[in-house]
Amino acid sequence: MTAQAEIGAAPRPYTLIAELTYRCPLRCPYCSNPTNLAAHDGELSTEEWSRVLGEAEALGVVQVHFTGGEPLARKDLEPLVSRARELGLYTNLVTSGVPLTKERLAGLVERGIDHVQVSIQSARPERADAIAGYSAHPHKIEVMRWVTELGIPLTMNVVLHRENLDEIDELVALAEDVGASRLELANTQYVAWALKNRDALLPTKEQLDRAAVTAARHKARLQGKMDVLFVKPDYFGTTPKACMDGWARRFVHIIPDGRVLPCHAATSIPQLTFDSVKERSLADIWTSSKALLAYRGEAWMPEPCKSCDRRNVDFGGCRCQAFALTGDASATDPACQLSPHHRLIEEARLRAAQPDVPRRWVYRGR
Amino acid sequence: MSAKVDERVETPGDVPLEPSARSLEPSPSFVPRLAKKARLRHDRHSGGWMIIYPERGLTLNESAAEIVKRCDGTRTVAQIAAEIVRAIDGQEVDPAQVERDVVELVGELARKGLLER
Repeated sequence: MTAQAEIGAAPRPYTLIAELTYRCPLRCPYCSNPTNLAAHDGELSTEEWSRVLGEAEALGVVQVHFTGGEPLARKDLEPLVSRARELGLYTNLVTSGVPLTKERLAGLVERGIDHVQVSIQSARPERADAIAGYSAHPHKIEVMRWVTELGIPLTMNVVLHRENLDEIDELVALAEDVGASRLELANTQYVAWALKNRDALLPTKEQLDRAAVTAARHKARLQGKMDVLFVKPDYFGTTPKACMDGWARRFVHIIPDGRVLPCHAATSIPQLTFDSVKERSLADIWTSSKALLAYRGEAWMPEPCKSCDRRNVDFGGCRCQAFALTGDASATDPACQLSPHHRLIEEARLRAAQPDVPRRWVYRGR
Repeated sequence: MSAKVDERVETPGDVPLEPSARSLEPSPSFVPRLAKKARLRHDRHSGGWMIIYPERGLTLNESAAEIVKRCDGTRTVAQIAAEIVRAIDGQEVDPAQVERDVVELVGELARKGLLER
């Protein structure tokens, strides 16, 4: 589909990210949930989510991620999984594993869960619990084994930062040991809680380069057996990420209270008012919500994006990061070396590289 | 005929690393079976076929779909190619080219981890 064809009609979303709840037992200091959690309540009901799943499929969605927070905190996850599978959606569960029992997992498998992702904070138990702010590591390992024993494809997710970036070999060994078919090693994105903790989380350039080489070696070794992804942090690059593959383009993101976002972090941009599936249909919101139209396509782009050869590649980068760092959500992502604000990224990197910078974590609230 | 696939639903931000080239090239006697994590799905919106797997999807063109439908663990690469030559009977096809297409697509699926090991 060309950009031209998308001007009149909304693009087709392929993936629904369903954040069922912001409740979570873990308190990871890089949590992607909003930093003002107390201001979010009024979760969608089972009936509302069921309706929305149908509306998403009708829009073209083929894959759904049940996530959060901790999606298992919702007692109605089971009927929602059944509903998603009735619709033929490829159904992912993204979980901390913490509240899961083997019986509940077996029940979810029976209802047709296609794939389970379990987050691991570190390969080392004590460090893992220190990062999560909660003692859960041994149980998480057990949960991963149950998933593979039940024959369900497993992704082990790890958010990488200064404290665990030197563990690539151990993390890969753990993923192989529990039988994961996919290992996602994703460096922290510095929005939401992670931005508050940036000095404590930003790695050194040397750490990052070493980790990237190690991950590449394992990726080649495990090709065809385990899919190893290594997602570099944009703070060390020269071009921004193609954040969400473009604003409200391929992904539709619904937060616990029913508002429809282009990504998990967009409520951090106060100028945007997001529409809720409690009031309008998903199709109506996807095609005409002012907040989704705000940065869809290219019309909003300033220079240097507007005339850039990469504008169809990285879509101007991350709007939330642009807002968080410059106060202007329509600015070029400062991660781009062509951004007039790129020095903000360089300064943050230099600051975090100083040995005496304070590195105390602010844990995510509840 | 060409059996190309397009990757349409990608994980944002993954850094593609150099695949180890042709190490997973299948032989004509290889019996491919789609991996458990991958689901072949008819797409009512486009009328075509897709393979859906964790966080990704591939849209298949018509000839790729004919090949993938036969990756069920009961046929060799050579048998899949022969079946496809028979199925498009009447048009001019080069059986050797069809087999090369099947080998290429099956190899690509293997490299993506979409076949049972």
